[in-house]
Amino acid sequence: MTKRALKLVLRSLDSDPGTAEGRRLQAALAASEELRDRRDRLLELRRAVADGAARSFRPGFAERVASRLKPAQQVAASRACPRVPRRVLASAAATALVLLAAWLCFAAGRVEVMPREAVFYAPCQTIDRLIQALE
Amino acid sequence: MNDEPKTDPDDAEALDRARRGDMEAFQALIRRHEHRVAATVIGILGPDPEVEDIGQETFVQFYKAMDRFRGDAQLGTYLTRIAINLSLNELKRRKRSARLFESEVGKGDDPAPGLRVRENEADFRALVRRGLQRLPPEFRAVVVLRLIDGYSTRETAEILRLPLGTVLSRLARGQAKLKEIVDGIMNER
Repeated sequence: MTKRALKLVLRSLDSDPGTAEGRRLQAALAASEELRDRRDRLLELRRAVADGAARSFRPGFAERVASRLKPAQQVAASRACPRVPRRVLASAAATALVLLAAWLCFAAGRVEVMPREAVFYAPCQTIDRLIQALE
Repeated sequence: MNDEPKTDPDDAEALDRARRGDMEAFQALIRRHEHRVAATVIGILGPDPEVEDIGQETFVQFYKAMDRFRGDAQLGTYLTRIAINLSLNELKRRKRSARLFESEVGKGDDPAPGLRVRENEADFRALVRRGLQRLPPEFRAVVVLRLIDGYSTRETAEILRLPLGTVLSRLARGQAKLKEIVDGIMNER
């Protein structure tokens, strides 16, 4: 059994050796009982690797992963609803209150439209003259 | 996978639901793929109690990166890639630890306590499992992916991001080495 023949056997277990190499392999196998024995033992080894492998975790694995993911889920949920800073919330609430109070007063008729004199602190004639000058 | 419910949606549908926060759908995905992940992690690290942490971490990492998974690869292949990378990292970490140093340099003991074979045990599979844990990581990874997970040599190359020729050569050398190791263990007994 040559090293080259053994290499051929090893390679042939996982890839197609091709026509020429395949023929060489068959010839080597036919000529050497030791090589055939070696190939059979390799096949047995491969079967043992595959069949002897453990393929499961303890029962309830999916549930344990899910419970480990709960904090990550909560973080994701809190990211989805972004937090509004307290200051912004407070000023928004105050503005809403002022607007509501103003609207209620207006609706109740307590707010009067202020006369021009009161707004500009000047007599009506003076304001009229100023407007004319501007025109 | 005989405990897998038949009504589980397929990967794409379950993924879609999981992305929308449906944890039941994500659990269905875990149940569908946990055996493949287990085979990979236990194949690389041996039947050690710590392997479950690596298995869990595989799915946790996938959960966090779920939105980035575009479906270019099969989900099973994607998970296997995460699992094998985590397992190989764990192997490096163990190698650094004194515990493994002792067992590797030591008296032919197994690296993992769970692997210690009883004196009168003549189970060839157990010997092979034991031998697999002594195989250098680069060979162990290809042997596990090809022989335990059943990936083709091309898929194995893609998962490990190695050229196909390297995978074929490592497989051939890995099997030859494994045979030597198993013969050695048998002679030790």
